[in-house]
Amino acid sequence: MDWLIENPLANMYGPLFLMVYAVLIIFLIAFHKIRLKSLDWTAKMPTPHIPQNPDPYEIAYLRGGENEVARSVVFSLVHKGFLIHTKDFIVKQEFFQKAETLPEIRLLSPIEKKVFSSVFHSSKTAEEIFKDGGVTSAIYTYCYDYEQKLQNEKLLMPPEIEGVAQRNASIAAVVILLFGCFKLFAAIAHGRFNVIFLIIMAIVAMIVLFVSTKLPRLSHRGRAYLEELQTAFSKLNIKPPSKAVRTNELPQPAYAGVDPTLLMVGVFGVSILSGTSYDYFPQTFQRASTHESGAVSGCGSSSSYGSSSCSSGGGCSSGGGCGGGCGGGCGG
Amino acid sequence: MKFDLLPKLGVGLGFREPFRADVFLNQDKIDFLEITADHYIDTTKEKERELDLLKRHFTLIPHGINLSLGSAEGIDELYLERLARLIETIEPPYFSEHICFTKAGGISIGHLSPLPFTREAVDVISRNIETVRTKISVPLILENITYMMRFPDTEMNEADFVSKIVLENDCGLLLDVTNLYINSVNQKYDWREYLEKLPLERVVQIHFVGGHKHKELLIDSHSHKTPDEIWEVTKEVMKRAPVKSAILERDENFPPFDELLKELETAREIGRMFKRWD
Amino acid sequence: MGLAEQQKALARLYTDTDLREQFLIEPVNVGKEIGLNEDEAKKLSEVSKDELTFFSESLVWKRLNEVTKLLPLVRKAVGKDFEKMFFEFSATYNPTGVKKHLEDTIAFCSYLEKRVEGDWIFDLIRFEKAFLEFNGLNRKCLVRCFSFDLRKAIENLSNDENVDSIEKKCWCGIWLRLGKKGKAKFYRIFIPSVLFLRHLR
Repeated sequence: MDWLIENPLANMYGPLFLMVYAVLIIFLIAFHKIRLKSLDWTAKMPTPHIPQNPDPYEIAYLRGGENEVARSVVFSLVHKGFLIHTKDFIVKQEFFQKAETLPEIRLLSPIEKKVFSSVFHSSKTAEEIFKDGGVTSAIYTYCYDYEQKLQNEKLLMPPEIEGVAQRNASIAAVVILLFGCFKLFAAIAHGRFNVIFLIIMAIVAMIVLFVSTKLPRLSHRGRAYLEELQTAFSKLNIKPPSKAVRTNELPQPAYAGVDPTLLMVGVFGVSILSGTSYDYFPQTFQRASTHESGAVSGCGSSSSYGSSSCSSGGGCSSGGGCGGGCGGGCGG
Repeated sequence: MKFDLLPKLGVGLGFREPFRADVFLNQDKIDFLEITADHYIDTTKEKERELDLLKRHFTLIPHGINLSLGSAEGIDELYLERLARLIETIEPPYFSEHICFTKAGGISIGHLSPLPFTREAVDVISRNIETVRTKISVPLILENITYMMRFPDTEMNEADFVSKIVLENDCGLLLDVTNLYINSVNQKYDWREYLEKLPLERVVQIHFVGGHKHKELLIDSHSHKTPDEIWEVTKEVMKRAPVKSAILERDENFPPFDELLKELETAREIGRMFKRWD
Repeated sequence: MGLAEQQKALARLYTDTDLREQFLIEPVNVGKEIGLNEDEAKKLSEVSKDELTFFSESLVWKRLNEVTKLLPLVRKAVGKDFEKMFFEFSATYNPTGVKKHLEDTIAFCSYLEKRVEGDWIFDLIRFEKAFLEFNGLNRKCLVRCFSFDLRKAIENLSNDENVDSIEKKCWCGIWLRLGKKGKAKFYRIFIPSVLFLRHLR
């Protein structure tokens, strides 16, 4: 057993060993990270086509899970006139409660109906929406279905990849720990007890390994698909509550039966409502939310800068068509 | 070139960024898209992503606006290279440009400028088309433009001019029925007589849209609904020419997207009436 | 007349108002300036004055139309003077290339900066110009400093409302392209007190 404590590594000068240990840790973490990228075989799959009848709630689930669906449903209920947002200045709270005059219930989709009838029999704060008995509970079965569908389409990280990634991370962790323990044992055997840096390094390495190599929720295919959805639908305009809602008419056919504002919220999150008449939404949910939206906020979130400014750059050459027009304002 | 071998694309839309989302929400009502080539040459990452996305969902026909086929000083080689690369990426069945010039003497005119209807102009275009074909093997179809200016040294009428160019260079014709009608009103000729002189067997695609009136002149502003007079021209062309595709070329003053779809459906019905597509 | 000479002359006449007006008065003398001999100049002068003028003016209107689309807030802020100033500007600059409308707009912004009264409008022009430069010219990083807090002005203008007093507040706008896909990000940093970040897709 002498060879365990009498070898170049065990006898290595402490600070030098720490440097070698650091290099080993960095190498293992970097290697593991690179391996992770290649594990995601969904990168080889073609991205799904943009659907003609996109489900805003399914997209919200893809983007950020059940909390995003909850936010989108509450928004839709407000947008369609079933809920109103109120502020109680005495208790300093904001509530969502039933509107006094309700539109026709047929305007609601099944998920909206479920939430409206089971949750909003009484007013709810934004925090309560995410708690047990709130919106997230009411939409559980719908979210379960979205999860299954998105898993089948490989838009969420496949469990088998997660399994492999965890195994690889464990192997790296074991190597790091064994190396550290080996030196710890050798140091103690040589009567050296200044091992605190070694222990701290090992702990930090474990944390960094597991945090930095955690797989994203979306697969490569899922991320690519979400980006394409955001590209496709970034030009939809946020509309105030439509005339259709007030007169109980169904949405315009040009939007394939989809409310364009709800679709924007599904694709980009409630942050897209900043600067619109729904400006309170992102602020209300920011204070309440326990889960971060996975999406980068869209152009509308900077609509306080003028959405035209935001979009004109990208479309800077898209104004005129083939130039066939004679200037449009000839003398006019 | 056997133009009957080109695919029947149906009725589509000139793609404009403001209605990108609407296009994706109505994929089954839009058979294909025409894209303005310049919008995707030397462009931003966002426009590249947009092009990728459009390519995956639609057949795209690139429509050039800056090749300046009528320029006597020749084609801008750098622009041609870039256009060729774009076309290679898109792999369209054909692409289109205009019978005009847009630059001369280092000056960019900024619009499609008419050519005198002369033999020399035909030869210039022929030379330039030959240059284009050294880089782009995809079939070329040429569009008639509107013109306010008439040149004193005209040797032939517009219909003969267009016909010579198309026949001598074995090109297809993108017959802009709106431009045809506008020219017929502004230049006071009968569009039916014009059609008689055209090699209609070479009409591959048509453009249609509405313009507006400015005093006594019609302007091709691409800013209004297609009016009845232009539908009449469309019907006549669809009846007589083996049109494979039609594009609504709306550039300005966009109405609710439903209204654009209605115009597409009108064109589709006309095409079906004359068995141009299913 | 050779087509090449005719086209060169036409390109100049279409895009240069003063030259065109002089040519219509004295075609032979002005024709010499633009490379035409006497016969060529006389031939070209047979083109209808109205048609030539109409077409040439329509080119400027077309440019104005495109520039207005790219500067919607500035257009609203500057008001009727916007068109007048653009016509003045168009006589001094003619854009070329595939990004001509973008370059036209950026050049017009530089022109406006020197002429517009009202400091917050000056900042607004620079602000819209920065977006165009960043997005349209594919810049990786852009930093601009401003003296006025434009948020309220932009909201008012976007909603076609009057712009009331604008608060003076120094801030820097940072435009960045990050990552392989070059995703655009925009940050605002107020100087000197509170750091305030916003994200722009």
